[in-house]
Amino acid sequence: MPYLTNDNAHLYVEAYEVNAYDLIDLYAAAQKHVDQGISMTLYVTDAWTTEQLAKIYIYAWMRGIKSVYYVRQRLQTLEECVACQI
Amino acid sequence: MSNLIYEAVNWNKPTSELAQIFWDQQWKQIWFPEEIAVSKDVKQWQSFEHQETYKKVFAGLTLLDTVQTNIGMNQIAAYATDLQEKAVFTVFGAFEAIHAKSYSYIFTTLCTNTEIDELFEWVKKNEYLQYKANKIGDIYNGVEQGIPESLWKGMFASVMLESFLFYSGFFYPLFLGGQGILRNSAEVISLILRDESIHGVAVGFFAQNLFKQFSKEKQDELKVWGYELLLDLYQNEMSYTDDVYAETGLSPDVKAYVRYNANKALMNVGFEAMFPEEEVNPIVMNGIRNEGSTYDFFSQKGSTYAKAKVAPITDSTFDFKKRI
Repeated sequence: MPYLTNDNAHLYVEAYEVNAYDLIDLYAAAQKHVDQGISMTLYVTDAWTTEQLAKIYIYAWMRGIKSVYYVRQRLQTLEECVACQI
Repeated sequence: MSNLIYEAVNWNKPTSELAQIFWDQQWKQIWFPEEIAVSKDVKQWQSFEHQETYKKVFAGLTLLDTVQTNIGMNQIAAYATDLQEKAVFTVFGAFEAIHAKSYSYIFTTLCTNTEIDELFEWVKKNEYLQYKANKIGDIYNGVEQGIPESLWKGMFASVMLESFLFYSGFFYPLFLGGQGILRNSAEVISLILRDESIHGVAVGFFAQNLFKQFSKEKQDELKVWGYELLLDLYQNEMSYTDDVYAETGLSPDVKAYVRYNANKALMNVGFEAMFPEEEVNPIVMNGIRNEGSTYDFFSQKGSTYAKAKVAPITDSTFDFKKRI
């Protein structure tokens, strides 16, 4: 990651931790000024249910997003699963 | 007719600490080899230099997964006492069957029928491969009703197989895939590896619980047995690596990786690592960190994808005042 150092690492948020709705709002603001459909990528985790996924698509459509391209999903590791159980 | 009282598995009352977790995690990551476009590797395969090594690596893995399906998980499931844990082992066994079948899928895509037949003959003739299958198979077959230490040995052997012995084989596709060579076959391997790592942790965890019930003397005796087995398998693994990887010059790298995984296998069963820490080829290390892998825009199904939990869509789904 360019310019990422130990001193400024706390300012970075991983894509999977960014609020997806805020991300859509950002794309929506940019889309108005772009003459082609932006390929928007969403980042979710395996904790997202099918309902949450449906909802985010509907929201994207409502905000005038032209394309939800990839939906990247991060799988919780087994260690995380076991850790949250104990 | 016998007059036993059969008990039904009751998932409403947890009888095992982590059975439900392992169950969920395993099913969530269900996959089938046909979902991966191995045929996209065909073009690269035709000019690939070390076809022999690659084929043998996969044939060797097929044998281990076959043993694990037919004997390993079956035996452990048969003799484990907790009904929920038995169910988890049976599911693991089903995934082993998918793994064993997925190599055949790669073979059919890349090789001719004659080549495939030769490979399966080679499996029967390779002394190192047969040695490890026999060694592990004997321990599985030695599991006996009412003798918990034999079950523990079976579990130990299973962890050795899944967290340690597979890796001399996994090395090659990961090493190549990480450099953009035969990437789709490597994708299959990373999906297999993702399952094996659950199996290793789960069987290791259940083995540790069993181990705690043994007396101190018994524990010491089993520890010696365990390390001796590991060392025995390790020596065989070194010869196997030299044999299979001879033409590639990769043997030293593979061996370092094998030692790294031997340590991980030991830790899965709650034992101290045995080999000193050493640098493992970073390309291969990147390939086993499947939880953190990132994707370019043209990647395949990807090993972090999982089935989402189904939840019904209701009127409140369309209420965006509360966004999530």
